[in-house]
Amino acid sequence: MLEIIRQVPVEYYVLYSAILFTIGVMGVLIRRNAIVVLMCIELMLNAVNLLLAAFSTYLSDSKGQLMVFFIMVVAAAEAAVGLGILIMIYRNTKSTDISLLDKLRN
Amino acid sequence: MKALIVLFITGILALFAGLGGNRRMINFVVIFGTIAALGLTLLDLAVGDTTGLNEQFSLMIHFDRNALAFSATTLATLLLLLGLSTWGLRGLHATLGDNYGLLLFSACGALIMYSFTNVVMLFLGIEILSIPLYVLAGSRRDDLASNEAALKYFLMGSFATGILLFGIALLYGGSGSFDVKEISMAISDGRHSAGMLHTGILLVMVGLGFKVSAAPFHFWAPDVYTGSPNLVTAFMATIVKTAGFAAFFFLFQKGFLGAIGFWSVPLAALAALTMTLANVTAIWQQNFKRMMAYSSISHAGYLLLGILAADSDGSGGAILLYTFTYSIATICAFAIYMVVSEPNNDGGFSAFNGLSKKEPVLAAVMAIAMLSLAGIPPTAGFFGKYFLFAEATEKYPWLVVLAVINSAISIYYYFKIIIAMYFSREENAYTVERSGIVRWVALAGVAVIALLTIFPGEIYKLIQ
Repeated sequence: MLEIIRQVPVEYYVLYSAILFTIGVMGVLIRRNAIVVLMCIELMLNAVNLLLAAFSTYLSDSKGQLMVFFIMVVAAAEAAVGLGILIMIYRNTKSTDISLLDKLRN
Repeated sequence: MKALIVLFITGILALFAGLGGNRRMINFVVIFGTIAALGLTLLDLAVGDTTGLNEQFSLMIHFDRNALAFSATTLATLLLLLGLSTWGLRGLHATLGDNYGLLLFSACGALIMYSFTNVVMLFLGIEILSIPLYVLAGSRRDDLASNEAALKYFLMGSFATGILLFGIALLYGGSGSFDVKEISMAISDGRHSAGMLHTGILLVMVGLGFKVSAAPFHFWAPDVYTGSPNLVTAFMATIVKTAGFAAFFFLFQKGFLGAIGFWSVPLAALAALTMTLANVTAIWQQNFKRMMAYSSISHAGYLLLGILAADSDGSGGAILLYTFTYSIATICAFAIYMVVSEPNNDGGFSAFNGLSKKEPVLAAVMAIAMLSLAGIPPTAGFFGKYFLFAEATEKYPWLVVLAVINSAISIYYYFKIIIAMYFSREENAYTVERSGIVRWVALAGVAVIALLTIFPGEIYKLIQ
């Protein structure tokens, strides 16, 4: 299995993760729906997970995969808090559009 | 380490005490627990650690003198904040224990950020600090401003975490380890892929820049500071800022010092941009909390000078002194702001009109806090700025000149409040809440500022 994975050069994994990460960043900056923004943040974290798993395989070192578990746990905690905040906002505004939330600027 | 354990257990006890709904009991538990944690930290600093607990987990977290000194200042700040919260959280009943628990858990994250020796712990510390704060920022559920602040803080916080993590992943790929020492060796020995390590350092810098609200990553801070409940804003402006800068400093000093020629240029640009932008924008603000938000961003700009001087011995002490004086002055300012603005529902500068006649003591405390924030000698803020700028003078004279000019600009907006309190002709009919505990917290804060004014070198010497 390790041999098959290593047939792909590690640079390809870096490039692939960087592309996934950039899609996530662009989504956070461009999209206006809070749930989609939340999904884009998860995409960023998953790009990091993929990169860590790839490095871990190439370095024959298990610490990278341990870090992946930590990231998954924290991402779950963040998603729980984030969805809670979204529900709170939806109850008050009946919308998940973040461009409505610009009251503090004035 | 003992302080971390005590603080964490206190948080859990606060959650359970909250179930009973006995306000006195909760206040007693949290304040006693924090005093115990502070006492244990000071004991470790004074006589050294005999239990070996501080070194036991040294591959992950290690409480050396630096970490203990920052822990002590943070716990002292937390103690003042908790004193304030006995009045500041008076509107809460069923969720009081939860709020206290979250405040204490967040402070646990700060202690982890002082003592990490592994970037995994840095990441976990930042998250333990941040996630409770996302909840606390939105703790006024019916208030749309609080909702907006919580969402913005959450989205920007997790976005920054993503960037930080990508940087950590690249550092791991470049060096093969998460350990700060091994990353440091990989950076200086030149046998590893420099491209990957340098990109990692830049991404970590951006991620931490978001957390400490350095320009151009500061745009979330004014909105979040304005919308959050006053007590939570005070927590963000003091403990979160201190923790963020300590972690920033320790990581760049212990881990990335080998590449200082590479990261010092973008960081210097960041510092120049942060202090100029924040001070110029703060001039136009009409709302006190928004002004304090820009003021906290400008202090972030000055503190970046300390990180730029990471290779000099005294920079850790300078950052410690600066963050502590800044935190205490900010807490004093927020204490007065809370009793002046909350009963009258006015967040503008005009709320302070004529305060010197109604409440001379509170007005004097506010004036001292503002003078200290502006760095007017002989207040403690002056010594904080002096030591910090002295560290950076040799290598970045132009940046220090810019910082001094910016401090001069900042006097304008800090003095607006002093003028409103003492020289305003317009009177207002506002009533000021008479709260004994807030008065005590404000006076304790002034006492700390006075101590720091008389003995600034003592705290500076804690880190060497």
